Amino acid sequence: MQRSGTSALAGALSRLGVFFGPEEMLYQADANNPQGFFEHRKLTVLNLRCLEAFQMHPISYSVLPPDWKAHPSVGAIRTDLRDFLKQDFARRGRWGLKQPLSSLVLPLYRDVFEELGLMPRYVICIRNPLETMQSEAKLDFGDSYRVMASLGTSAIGSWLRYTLGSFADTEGCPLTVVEYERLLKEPKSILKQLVDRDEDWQPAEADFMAAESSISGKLRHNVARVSDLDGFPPIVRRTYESAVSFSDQESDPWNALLALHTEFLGWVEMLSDFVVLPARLGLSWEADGSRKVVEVGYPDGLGWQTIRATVEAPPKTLVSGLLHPLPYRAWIEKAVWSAGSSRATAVLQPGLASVITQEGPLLRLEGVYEPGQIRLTTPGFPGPYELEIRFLIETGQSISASAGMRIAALLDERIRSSERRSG
Amino acid sequence: MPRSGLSAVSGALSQLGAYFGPESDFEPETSQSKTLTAFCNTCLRYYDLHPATIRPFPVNWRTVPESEVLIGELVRYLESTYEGHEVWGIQQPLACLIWPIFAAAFEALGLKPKIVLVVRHPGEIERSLSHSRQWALFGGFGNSIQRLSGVWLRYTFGALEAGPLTVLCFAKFLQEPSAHLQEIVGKVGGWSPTSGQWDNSRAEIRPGNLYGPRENPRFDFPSILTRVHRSLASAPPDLAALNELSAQFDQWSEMLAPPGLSGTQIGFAWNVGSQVQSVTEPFLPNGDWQKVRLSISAPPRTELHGLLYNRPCRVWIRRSVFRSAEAEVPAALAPGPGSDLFERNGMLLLHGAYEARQIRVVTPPGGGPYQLELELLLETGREIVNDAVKRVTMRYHQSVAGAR
Repeated sequence: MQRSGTSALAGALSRLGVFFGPEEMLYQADANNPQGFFEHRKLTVLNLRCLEAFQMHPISYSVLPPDWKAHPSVGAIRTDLRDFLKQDFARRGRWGLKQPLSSLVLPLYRDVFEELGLMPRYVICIRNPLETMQSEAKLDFGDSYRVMASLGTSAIGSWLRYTLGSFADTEGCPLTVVEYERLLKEPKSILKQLVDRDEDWQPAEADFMAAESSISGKLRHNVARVSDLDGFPPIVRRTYESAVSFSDQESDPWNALLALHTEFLGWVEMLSDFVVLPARLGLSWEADGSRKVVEVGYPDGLGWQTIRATVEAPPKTLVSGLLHPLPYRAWIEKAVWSAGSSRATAVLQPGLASVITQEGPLLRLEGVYEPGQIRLTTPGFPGPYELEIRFLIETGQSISASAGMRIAALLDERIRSSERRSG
Repeated sequence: MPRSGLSAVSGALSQLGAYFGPESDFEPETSQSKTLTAFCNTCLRYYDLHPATIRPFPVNWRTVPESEVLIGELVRYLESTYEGHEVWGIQQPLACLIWPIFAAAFEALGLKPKIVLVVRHPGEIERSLSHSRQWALFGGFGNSIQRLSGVWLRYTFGALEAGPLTVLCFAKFLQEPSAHLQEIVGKVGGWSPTSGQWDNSRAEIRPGNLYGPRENPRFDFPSILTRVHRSLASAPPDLAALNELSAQFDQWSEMLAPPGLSGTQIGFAWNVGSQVQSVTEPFLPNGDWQKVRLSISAPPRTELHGLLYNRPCRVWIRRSVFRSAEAEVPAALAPGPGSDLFERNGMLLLHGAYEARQIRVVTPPGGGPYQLELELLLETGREIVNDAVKRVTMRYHQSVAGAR
C-alpha cells in the first residue's frame, strides 16, 4: 500500500544491489519521497492499463474477476509485461519491482512469473492504516494540482484491500512482511532478515551501512497506536495485528488473514453500487411496408455470452440493431447468420457515433444509444435466419466518459468545419 | 423495501378509512401513487442513486440548489393530494432512500407523520420480487445474496433514520392483523374506524398469495443482516442493537466509499491573431460552492472558450463577473455545442459535455486586464455522464442530418 514505507525499503534494497530499473526510467524524487520512489514508469503504465481494462481504480476495493484470463485486453497486457521483464531485467542478477498498484492485479503478475519460470520473493510492507491515512492526507503536490481529494476514511478501506488482497494473492509463495515501525527502528535487522533468505546474496558491509543509513535518518511523521484502530470495524485492527504477527514470524496467521479477506470481500460485494439495466439485443427492419422488431434479453455483465435472434426478413435486408441502452464496450468473437445448413458471417457496421475496430481475432465495438447503433445485412440465401452473436459487454463510468469525450470531439470538429466554411 | 408487505398493510389501513390518494393514480394492486413513485425516481436520478442503491443519501444534499425545487414539488403534491382528508397515508418504499426530502417537506407543512416500517425477511422478499415485474429493476441483485443484503440494509437503515416509528414484522402481522392495525390506529389518535371497516380490513389480508423464503437458500446471509432482522423482529425492537448495527453499516459504507471527484484545472483560451493564449487555475471540486478567479489578459470583446471540468458535469453558477481596474460587469456565459445552459432556481445551470468549448464568454468592451470570477457548485456522476453522452450523440446526429 502507498505510504507504507515501500519507497524507503526499496531504496535500502537498491543499495544492497537490487536493481529496480535504469535511473532514467524511475520516477524522480520529490517532497513526498526525497530519496526517490524506485518505481519503474513502464510498470506504472502497465498497472494503470490493467486497472482500466477491468474498470478498477487505484482506490477501488474490487478484485480481478474470477475469469480475468478470458478478458480480451489481458493478452496484450501479458505480452507487454513479459516483454518488459525480459527487456529491462534479463541479465540482471538481482532485481525487484516496486509499484503498490501491482497489489491490485497480482494474479496477472503471478501468471506471467510462472510462464517465465521466475520464482519471486514477495515483500509486503505494513503500516498502521491510520498513519497511511494521515500521510496520504499530507501529500505535497508541489506546483501541480491535487489529483483528488484526500481519501479520508476510505484510505482505511483501501488499506484493507491492498493488504488483505496481497496476502490472499501470494498464498503459497515465499513472503516477507516488513512492519514500517520496525523498519525505522531496526533497519539493519529487517534488511538482514531479507538478505539471509537468499544464501547467494552477500552484500558488502559498506552497502549494508549505506542501506541502513538511508532508512535511519527517516522520521516517523505520523504516529498512531494500535488501540486507535478500535474506532473502526474490528476487521481493521485484526488485520493489522495478524499482518504484524506475520512479520514477527512467531505464528502462522495465514488462516486468520484469509478469513479476514473473505469477510472483507463479503462487505465489498454488499456495498458495491451496481446498476443492472434490462439488457437486450433489439433488431428491426422494413418488410412488407412495415417495421418489424425482434428483441432478445441477455444477462448484463456476466462475462462471455452467446445470444441468438430469429430474423424473418427477406435476403439482403438492412437490419438495424441496439445491443445495450448505455454506452458500452463490447468484444465480439462471433457474429454469424444461419438458415438450415447455410451459414454466413454477419458483417457488423457501426452507427454514426459508435465505432467498430478489429483487435486481433475480435471486433471491439464502442457503442452509444443511437438509432442504428449496429447495422448488418441478411445474407443472400433464403431465411428465416438465426443471428448468433458471441460477445463480452462492459459498461461503466469510465467507458461512458470516454464515449462522451469522443463524440463531443466529433461534434466540435463538425461545428468548426462549418464555421470555417462560413468564414 | 418493495415486496415487504406494504400493499397488504396499506390496503388494510385504507379499509379502515385512511386515504392513500386517488385510486386512478395507484400502481396495480397497491396503494402506491404512480406520481409519487415518478417523483422519487426523479430524486434518485438527480442524486445519482437508483432503486437498488446501497449508497447513502448525500450529506451535502441541502447545498445543492435542486433540493429546494424537489422539496417544493413534494410539498405541492402533498397539499394537492391530501387536502381535506383527516387521516391519510403514503405507501412508498423508495422514501427510505431519500428520506431527508420527505422530512423537509413534512416540516415545511408542519406535519408530524407516524411512520410504519414493514419488515420482511430478505429471503422472502427476493422470492416475491423474482415473481414480480420489479425484478428487472433490481437486476436480480446480480444473483448475489450479499447485494440483496446490502440493498435490504440500505432501505431498512434509511427508514430507521425517520425517527420514532412503528415496526411491523410482516410475518407477525399476518398472524394477528387486527392487533397490529389497532396499534397503528391508536398511535395516530382521533381515528375511530367502524366495526364494518374493521371487518373489511381483516378481509383485505390474503396470506395465501404470499411467497415464503426459498426452501434451500444457496448461501448464508451476512451476520449483520441476521442481527438487524432479529433486532427488528423482537418485541419491542431492540433499538440499542439497531443503533450499533447501523453505526457499523455506516462505518463500512464510509470505508468503502467510492473515490471523491478528481482535481482538474479550469481553463479558458482565446485567439489573438493566429496565436492561441490560455489561462488555467487548479480546481478540486468539494461538493460545495466554490469561487474561482482567473486572470485574463485578452483584449476587449474577445471570445473566450472555457472548460470547467475534465468529464461531463452539471454546474450551478450563481455568480460570473469580469472585474477590471475600471469596473465589475456581469460575464454573460453561453454553452458549447454539446452543452446546455439555462436558468434554474434563480441561477445558471450548465449541463456540460467534456468538450473544448464547454462554455463561452466575451470580455467586456472596457480595457483589461480582467479577472473572471465564477462562483460555482460542480457535480458529476454516472447519470450526469450518461445524459451527456445521449445529448452529444443526439446533437451529432442532428449536425450530420443538417448537413445532408
